[in-house]
Amino acid sequence: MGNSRSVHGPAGIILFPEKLRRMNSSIENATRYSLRSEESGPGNLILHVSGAIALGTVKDFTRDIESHLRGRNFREVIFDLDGIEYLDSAGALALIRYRDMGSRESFPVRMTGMNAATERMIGLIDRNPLPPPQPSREAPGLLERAGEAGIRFYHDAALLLLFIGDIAGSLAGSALSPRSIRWESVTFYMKKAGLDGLPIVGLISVLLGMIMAFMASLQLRLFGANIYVASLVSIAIVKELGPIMTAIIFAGRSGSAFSAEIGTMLVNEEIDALSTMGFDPVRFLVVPKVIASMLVVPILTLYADLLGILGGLVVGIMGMDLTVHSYMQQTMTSIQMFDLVSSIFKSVCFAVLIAAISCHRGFQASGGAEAVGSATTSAVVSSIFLIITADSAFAIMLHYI
Amino acid sequence: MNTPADKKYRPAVIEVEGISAYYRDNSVLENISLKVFQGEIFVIVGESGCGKSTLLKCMIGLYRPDDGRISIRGTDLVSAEDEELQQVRKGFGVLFQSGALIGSMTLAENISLPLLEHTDLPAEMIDEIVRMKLRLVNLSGYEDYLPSELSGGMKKRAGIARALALDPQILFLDELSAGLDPVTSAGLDRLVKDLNAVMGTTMVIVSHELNSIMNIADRVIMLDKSTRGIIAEGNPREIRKNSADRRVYNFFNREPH
Repeated sequence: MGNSRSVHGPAGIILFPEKLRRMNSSIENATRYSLRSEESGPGNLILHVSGAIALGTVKDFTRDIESHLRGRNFREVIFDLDGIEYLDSAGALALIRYRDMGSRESFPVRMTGMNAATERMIGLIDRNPLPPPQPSREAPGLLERAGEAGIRFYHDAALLLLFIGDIAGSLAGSALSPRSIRWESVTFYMKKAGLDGLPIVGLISVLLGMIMAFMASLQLRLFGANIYVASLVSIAIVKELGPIMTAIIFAGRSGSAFSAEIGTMLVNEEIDALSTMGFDPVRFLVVPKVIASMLVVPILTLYADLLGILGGLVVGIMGMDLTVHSYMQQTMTSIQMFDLVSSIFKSVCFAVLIAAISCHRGFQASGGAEAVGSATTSAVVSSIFLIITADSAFAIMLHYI
Repeated sequence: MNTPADKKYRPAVIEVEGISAYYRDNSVLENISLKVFQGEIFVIVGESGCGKSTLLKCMIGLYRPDDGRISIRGTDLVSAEDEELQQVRKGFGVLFQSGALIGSMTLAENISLPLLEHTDLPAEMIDEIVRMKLRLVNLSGYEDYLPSELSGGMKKRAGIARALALDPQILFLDELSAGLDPVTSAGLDRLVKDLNAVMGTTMVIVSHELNSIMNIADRVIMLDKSTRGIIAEGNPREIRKNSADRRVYNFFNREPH
């Protein structure tokens, strides 16, 4: 009935000081245990445990014990622990579980032959009894979650409005005393968000113009209406795609950076430090970003409009036998000053929205590094949502002007 | 009970021989040699910036010294292959200064991480071990909390629970009691002594707290910023009473320069 196993587990094994001289401190030795069972009388089971009961062996040890005990009834079970050479906290926990099992089952369980080290280890775990596991809260139902999401959305929208009001107040205050604006910060963000964004905005606009011209030419060529490719590209780019694409790129490049910066400062208590030094965090951190955005996004949008038209022009000349002159002529007659002005106006609105929501999300970060990550994600998603919503509103409003 | 007398004649588990380390062009440690013996509580002290943490990072193999040799239980960390280093690392636990818990995981997940990686225990057993470790550091009931929801002291205690996950033979504790209230700090001191007495865990501790050092240390070394070497070594009480070196005397008696 003897049973012995060797397990080559991890090195989570403790060498008892007094055993040290006897044992070669080899991990292989420490990961072996043996279990011998003996029935001293009817219903009297003695389990002789020896070797190491530790992280590396406790799984097999538990299984062995279960196989001896399962489905049977005893008068008494005795664990003879005399042969234990190593016992770590995981092993002690398992032994304690069996010892306490006696009070639940109909038969008593006793531990005998504990040496000083085993006793101390079990004593340490005993002194710190485990509280019963906490029942995990029931997951809320669909209706409850939908309701919570609705309430959260409402609160979020209200907070955002408050924040935008706060920014408006700070902007007005700054406008009254322009010297209080941190202009070096404004130029820093103009460079970061504007100048450094030129290559990617330009590339995407040129490609977008080319793709549109190419797709349109496939259809319009059938009717001999090649020249209207110029109108289509210019109207689409100037009225819609220029401002929207620029805003989306700006949200991804700079909105995320704004919220990450503010979120990190918040997590590091830098914003609390600013407040206690008498700075208004909105005025100190948000206003420069909003002003910089309001200045660079319209410029980026005009630049995107220009390069988009240029992309269309390239396809028009190379693929459709149009001349530069006729293409530009057609473009100029298609778009009006009003379109350009409304494009710029829209982009200023987008800029304020992106800067505001991104900073807002940064201020909402709570916790550690992960919170900054989710604030950044949320900033970009919310920005894009607001851009599209605002653009829909503009589309209807501009139609009636 | 172990008395300091028991702790003599034990084999050295950590041997540092003549290591030097540089930060940029500045020398931080110069020709440091020391031994940490099996089952002792070894404390490293010294004023801020004297290289305590660098020395600790060298000992746990995170930082390769520019010169010298460090071995843990016979494995030379400086020349060890990655796999060998991993094997050595499994045998010790580390508490980093601010706990270094993974922010996206709950406490229970943080502590079960090494157990899941290095053992094949079933989930319910791991769960029980995790609750036991949290109980040992007096954090029962915080299993489902995220690190960001805890105070600094609680994070540190949770960090200790994680360092204890695999019942390591050696524990490295960086700034054990810095920033903790006296009651919590005394509780941690008792835990360190308990673990040391019960499991024979060798402790290497970086600390500033004189009370705590006097209470737990079997042996201390003091590093010095200007000489970048060890200027005192031995039993903390004897050092406090007998040191002739002004810097050492001031440190152990809380006197300004």
